[in-house]
Amino acid sequence: MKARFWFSLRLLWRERRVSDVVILFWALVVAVSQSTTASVFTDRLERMLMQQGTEFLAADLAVRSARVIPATWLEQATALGLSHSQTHEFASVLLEHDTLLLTRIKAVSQNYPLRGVLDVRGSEPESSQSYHQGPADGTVWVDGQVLATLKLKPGESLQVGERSLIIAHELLNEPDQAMNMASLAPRVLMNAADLATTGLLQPGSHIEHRLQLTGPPSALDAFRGWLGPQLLPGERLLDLRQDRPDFDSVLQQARHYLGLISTAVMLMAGVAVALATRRYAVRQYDQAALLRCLGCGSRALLGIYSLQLLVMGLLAGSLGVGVGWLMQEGLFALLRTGLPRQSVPVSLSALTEGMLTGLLILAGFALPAWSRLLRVAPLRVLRRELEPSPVSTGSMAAITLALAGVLVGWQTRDTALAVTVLGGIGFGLPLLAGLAYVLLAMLRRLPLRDAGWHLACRALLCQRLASLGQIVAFSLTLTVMVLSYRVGHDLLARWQQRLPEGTPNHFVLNLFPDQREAFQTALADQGIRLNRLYPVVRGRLVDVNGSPVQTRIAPDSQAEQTTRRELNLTWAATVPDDNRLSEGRWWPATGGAGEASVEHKLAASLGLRLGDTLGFTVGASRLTATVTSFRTLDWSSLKPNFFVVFSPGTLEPYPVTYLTSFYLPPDQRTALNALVQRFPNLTPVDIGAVLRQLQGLLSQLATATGYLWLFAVVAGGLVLCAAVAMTLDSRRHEAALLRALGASRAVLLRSHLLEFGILGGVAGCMALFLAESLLYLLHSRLMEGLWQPDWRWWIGLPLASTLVLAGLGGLGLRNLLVQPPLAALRNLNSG
Amino acid sequence: MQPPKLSGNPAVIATQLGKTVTTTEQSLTILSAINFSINAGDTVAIIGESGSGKSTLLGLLAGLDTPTTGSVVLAGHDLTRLDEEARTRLRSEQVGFVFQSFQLLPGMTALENVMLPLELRNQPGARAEARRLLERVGLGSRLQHTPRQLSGGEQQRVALARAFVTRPAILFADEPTGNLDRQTGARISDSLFELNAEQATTLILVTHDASLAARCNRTIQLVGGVMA
Repeated sequence: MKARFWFSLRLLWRERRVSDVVILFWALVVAVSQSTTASVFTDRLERMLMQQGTEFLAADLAVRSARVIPATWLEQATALGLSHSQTHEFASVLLEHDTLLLTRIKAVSQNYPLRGVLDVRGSEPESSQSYHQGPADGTVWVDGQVLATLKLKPGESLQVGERSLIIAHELLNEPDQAMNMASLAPRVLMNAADLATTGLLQPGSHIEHRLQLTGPPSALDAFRGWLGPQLLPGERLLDLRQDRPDFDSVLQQARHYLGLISTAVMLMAGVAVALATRRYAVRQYDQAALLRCLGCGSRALLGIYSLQLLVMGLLAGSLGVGVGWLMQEGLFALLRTGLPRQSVPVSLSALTEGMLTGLLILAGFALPAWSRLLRVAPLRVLRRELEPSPVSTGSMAAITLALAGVLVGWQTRDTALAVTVLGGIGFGLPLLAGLAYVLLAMLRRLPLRDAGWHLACRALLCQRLASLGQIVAFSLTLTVMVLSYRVGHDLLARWQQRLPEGTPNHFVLNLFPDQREAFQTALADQGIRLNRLYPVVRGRLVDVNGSPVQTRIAPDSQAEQTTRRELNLTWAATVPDDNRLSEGRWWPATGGAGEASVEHKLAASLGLRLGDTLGFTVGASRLTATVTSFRTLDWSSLKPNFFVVFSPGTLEPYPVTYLTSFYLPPDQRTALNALVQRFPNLTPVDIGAVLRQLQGLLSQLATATGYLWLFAVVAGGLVLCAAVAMTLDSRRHEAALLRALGASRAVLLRSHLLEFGILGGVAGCMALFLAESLLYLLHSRLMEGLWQPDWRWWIGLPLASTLVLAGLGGLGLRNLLVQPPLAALRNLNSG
Repeated sequence: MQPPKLSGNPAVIATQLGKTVTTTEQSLTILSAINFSINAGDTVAIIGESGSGKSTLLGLLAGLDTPTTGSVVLAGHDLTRLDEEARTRLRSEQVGFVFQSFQLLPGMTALENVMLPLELRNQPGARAEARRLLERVGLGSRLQHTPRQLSGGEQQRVALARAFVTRPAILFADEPTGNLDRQTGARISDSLFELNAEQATTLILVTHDASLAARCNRTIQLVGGVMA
């Protein structure tokens, strides 16, 4: 056994100079370096973004509770080695200079925030300063609206309950300023140590207590597991997904895209390995036959070649991991200006993943050629024309596809994506290959007299299956390249659509009906365009079909959170922008009072059906409406959205205010102060900080996806070059012979360009059909938005692939064309 | 350990040997009703025109292929009763080969090519024995050369060294001088018969070369797949 082991290694060592061993080795290095770069880069990028995402909780994990955080929670966190901070948030009315203002006060512990920074206005007018902890004892930080409304300046004192506190800074941004209307009221930040002396905390006060935690992921998981079962109704563990749907939706899309890029790179690496192994195995047929002839049994042969493959995989894998590591460092160096400031280290598991991925690619894509090597007949030493019988193509394809499925599923952690892409390719490629086979057969019928054409067609037809294999390899590579570009491009377009230039950065609540005209004129005078005005009636959902709503909601469900508070109710004659009816019908333009349309997730949480009757209390009055439709909407759109919309004529009798949004350029901030002074009942809400955070994330992701696509292009280019180089052997031999037999350089060059041009053209058409079909599937199953064919690709891709492959084929033959025929033949024979 | 030499007993017995291949269009008989016995130590030339079935017969006698009819007894073992693994073992222990196209592994040096069969048998001292054989065929100064750095005659001498390095009981040679000019062919032929005599090997060779066939003590002529 040991002797066989060393014998196998000696054989491999002696083969080290042979070109196909070298090619297979480097193909593996490329495959592993690609998969390592992809896995390490995406892992680091995702962790970086998630780490940045945790800033929006001001911690890695947060718990929200209506009661004071129990001491046992703190003890458990300390025991697990977690750092923790606390905040206590409540609404309070402040009075200064005879002006009342309803504010949201947040008292923070000394080490808040654990993640992210607090931004305050600097000493220069447009500058800002960042702090890693909140206000000192005896001071407060308040936002610009508090200062403007209460006519205060930093350095002056602010009466908070029974305590007078000095305004140290104007607060610009808090990391965990969540996206809900309550939290967007004017902000006051104070030290928790001062809270008791304000006298604002009384039994029964509505206070939201939060415990923030940071620490190792395992300790956080342990804490989450420990606390989860103890939570009371109304208490909740917060994570990025629930707290910031806008970020979650963007990250989710980015994750999909990064998964797709990984898939593309892996499939291309697989094609390279399959091509290299085939060439290597074909040359090994003679050696395998000789070894068998010299007395090496099939089991021994299996051992020898498997060991060689494994050793080659490990050696190339180690080198590939090193190269991959360097490449992702290079990518991060390129991206350093666009990425989060904090860096995260390379994880060992991502490196191991790169190596394992490489080995799995080797096993999956090398198997078909490898398995034939073990079936070489010893008689081949006498009859070289004896080819080993192939293992059933179907079973080989199934094994390769299954292994590819495991790889893609593992890399993307997205079964639906893996199934869609691989299923589409597994189904579409054989179908298109069949079509290409027929197309190739039709070449025979072309009435061509030109020698170049004739030679090109003969070369393609004589080895029709080999030509087909090349077409499949080229088209697969082109498909994944096109797919990764198109999906990335669509994603960027959607992100740009989400936050176009001039996206409203301010909301205004509480506008009275009689103020509408004056308000609109005031804004128009400042050159500010107002969006649609939404009527708002505040009401609470109390019963469904006459039964109290509490009887049909689960604790801590969306319904429970929604029905605990008053909702903003509105009415509309048409379906609101960006909303889509998922069930039922919209009411007619006239009539139809007493109907309601409910957001579909809330409806599901409440178990509502069309025709149910909803009962609301509005002030002291009661209102009922029949559910006639359900709507889907995007809560992450940063636009006014409503859980319940009523038909016109239903809400009008009740006290109504208006809500609207507009874009206020940063240099016109003073205009807002003037508006607040003129309309003191208004509640302006500045979501500029939230928008900036989201825009920052989108721009980072856009830069990263752009580079990642370039990376996929480089990988695809390498595969194409390798594939052309590998198919050149037999053609070079034939070309040398034809030269010896009198074929002119021009005829040979023409035939070669035509041959590769035809391969490229057919592969380009196949890739186009396959990519468009996959895009359609991805759009209809996984991504939002409709598939739209881009006609430029329909001309550009086949044309580009024809030209590129013809060019690569021509380049491969150039040496042969300038050599005298005899020298070319000698060189080839001695090689 | 050296394999035991066969003496006195027949080294190869072919009985009613036949080979038919079936293509999609027709069935083609390459060999039929071949009967002969070759004693240990004999030197036998199988001759015949191209397509007469010489190489097919050699493949059947060496156990590289299986007959459609009849049987081959090689070194006392009925090959038709052995599976591929057992035939492989038998080849490893008793048989050596020389091919027309040399069949040297291109990535290996001359020395490594000759060491190969000994290494397959895990035989110690492979390097020294391979070096001795190469020196014996006059290639002592070419040990580290790869096949592409050697002439055709030199490559075939490496192949001879590789064939004799295991001291096989039976040596099969398929057109050993077929790819060489007359002068070089004659030198290879000398080396082949000298080594054969030294090791008392049973030699069965396929050739078109009348002078090579004349040096064998027996000739089997094939005409259209049957013995003339």
